[in-house]
Amino acid sequence: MSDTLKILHVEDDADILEVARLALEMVGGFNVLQCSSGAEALERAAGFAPDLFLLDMMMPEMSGEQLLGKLREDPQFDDIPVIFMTARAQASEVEALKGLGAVDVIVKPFDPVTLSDQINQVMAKYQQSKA
Amino acid sequence: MVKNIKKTSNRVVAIAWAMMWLVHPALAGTGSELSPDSRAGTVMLIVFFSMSCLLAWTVLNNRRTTSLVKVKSEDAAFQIDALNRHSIVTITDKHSNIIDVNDRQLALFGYERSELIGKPASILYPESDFSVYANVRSTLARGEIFTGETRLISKTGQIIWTQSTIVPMFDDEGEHIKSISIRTDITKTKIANAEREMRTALHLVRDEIYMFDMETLKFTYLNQMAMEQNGWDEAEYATKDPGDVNPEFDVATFRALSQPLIDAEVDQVRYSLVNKGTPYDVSLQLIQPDGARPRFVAISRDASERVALEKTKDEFIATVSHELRSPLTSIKGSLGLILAGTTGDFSDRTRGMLEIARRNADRLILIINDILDLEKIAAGQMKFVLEPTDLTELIREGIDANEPYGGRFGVSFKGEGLEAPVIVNCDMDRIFQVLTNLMTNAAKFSQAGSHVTVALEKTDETARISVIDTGAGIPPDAQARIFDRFAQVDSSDRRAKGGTGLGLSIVKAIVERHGGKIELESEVGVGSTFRVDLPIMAGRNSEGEKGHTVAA
Repeated sequence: MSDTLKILHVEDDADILEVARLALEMVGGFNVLQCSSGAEALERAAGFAPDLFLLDMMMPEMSGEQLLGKLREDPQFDDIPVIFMTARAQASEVEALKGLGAVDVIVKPFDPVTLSDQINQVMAKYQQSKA
Repeated sequence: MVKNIKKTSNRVVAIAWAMMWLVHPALAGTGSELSPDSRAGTVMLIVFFSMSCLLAWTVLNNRRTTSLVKVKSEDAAFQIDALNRHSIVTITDKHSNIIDVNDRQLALFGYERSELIGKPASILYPESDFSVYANVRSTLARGEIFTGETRLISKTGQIIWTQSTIVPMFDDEGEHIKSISIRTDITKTKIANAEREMRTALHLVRDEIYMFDMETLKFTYLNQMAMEQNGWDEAEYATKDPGDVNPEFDVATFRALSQPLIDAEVDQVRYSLVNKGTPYDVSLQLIQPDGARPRFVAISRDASERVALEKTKDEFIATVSHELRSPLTSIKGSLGLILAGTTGDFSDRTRGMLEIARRNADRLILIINDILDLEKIAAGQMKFVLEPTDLTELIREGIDANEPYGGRFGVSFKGEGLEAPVIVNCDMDRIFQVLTNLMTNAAKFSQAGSHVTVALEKTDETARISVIDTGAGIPPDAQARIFDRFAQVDSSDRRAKGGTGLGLSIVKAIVERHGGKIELESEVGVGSTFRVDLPIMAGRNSEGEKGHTVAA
């Protein structure tokens, strides 16, 4: 793993993609690849070799949950941590998403200024648990 | 007419009494012993004679030319026997005390003759029908014949419907001395009629209706809809029970469910079930029709529509939530990034405008969250995870967490009565939400430099959390609607203080879902106290622990 965290971000809303790109690249200093669908992500993931998947839940054609399933089937990605982004903010829904195998759930609207801190914390905790 | 009957009756009575002396001294009151059968037979003979005379008189009086059929004596005996088998005969004195009854009455009402003789005839009437009994007495006293349906009651409390004719007898002076009643048992007809009417009505109902015996659970009635649903006809269902309708029907579960009906603790039990993939709402009652065994009535309604509607509503809420949050994510995100300087410098005036935009985007998010919370609570979909929770701990956490918020208004928080643990069964997160809401509200409306007290008191049954401020107070007219949605004392408050106007209605809903209640006491210029009472867990709080009383 290089020093700069590589994040593959999948989100179907172009405006949110742009806001998140600024937040992740300019505030967080991460290396970010953005895809607007699950299919595109599956196509480009191998070439990018991300350290983290940041997946929107509600997307047409392939939901974040379905995408996670496909990633887990691939030995290249079956151990890469996944954070879900969701607009469904109920505590019970957040718990259900964690149950699917995500390391964390970020609720929309997220705060672009603190988003990168949140991701750093999640990754630190994840790596600790792996060590 | 009354007078005529009386006059005629007197003639008849005179002849009847003469006959009685001839036929049987016992009935004329000499008191010699006779077998009940022959006594009743004699009674019937007299009754027949009396009635024949009455009929004859009526016919003649109406100037009809029909002649009466002459009754031979052996025919008369035969007829009396038949009548005795058919009718219930009671003779009473002028005070309505029973002088004699026939065997049919004894058999039907379950009494010994000695149990009825000398008793007032009211013994034969159910308590609820004493007014009918009074009406009969007054009719007879006026010298009139009573005819009509009367509800009587057996020794064991069974209702016996009768069609009655009660004729008063008079002596030579025209004084009412006795009455004789001849009744036909019409209970079976009554029940059959009532059932026929009920069945006709119930067949039209679009819900499925099942009646089944309380003991055997065998069906006694299915309405048209229920028969159609199960593909049975009237001949078939009598051998079936609820287990034949729903393969998952469990007798033990049903017995437990229906026990409160049998114990008369409730008059209705409602439950939902799924039978072969279809959801049903069921209402269960226990009835005991006159003269029949107790039975359950289950009204089963297809709940597919309700369930589908709830699902649609859920989906709608989820969609609205998503559709509103997505654009807000971009708005809030863009504003946040600009204000953080990510995109370059801007003037203070621009910053001011951007702050306003961001603040209002935040407000919109809060409102959406609150509306969704309320919808979920209202639809009973908000999951409450109840577990034993120490309120003193929760209040301490609440004070810590809200201290920074209070600081913005120059207000501090103070806990009272937090020395010994007070355990209630609650959803910790939701009660924390309640605490936070009440505390931030109190801070918002308090003077800088003042403090807000969060006090805990414990009684045998409840734990009371009081959030006490010394702020502006709430006028009485606003107190009444303070827990309504979007109710604030003044709508300018909302803008100035940044609330959504939904917080207190959410607080109330959460408290009520815990089986608790919330109250407000407030005086303008003095301050406000919000009191939350939560039911306490029996046995969890040890004897020695006493809550501190706090003067509000």
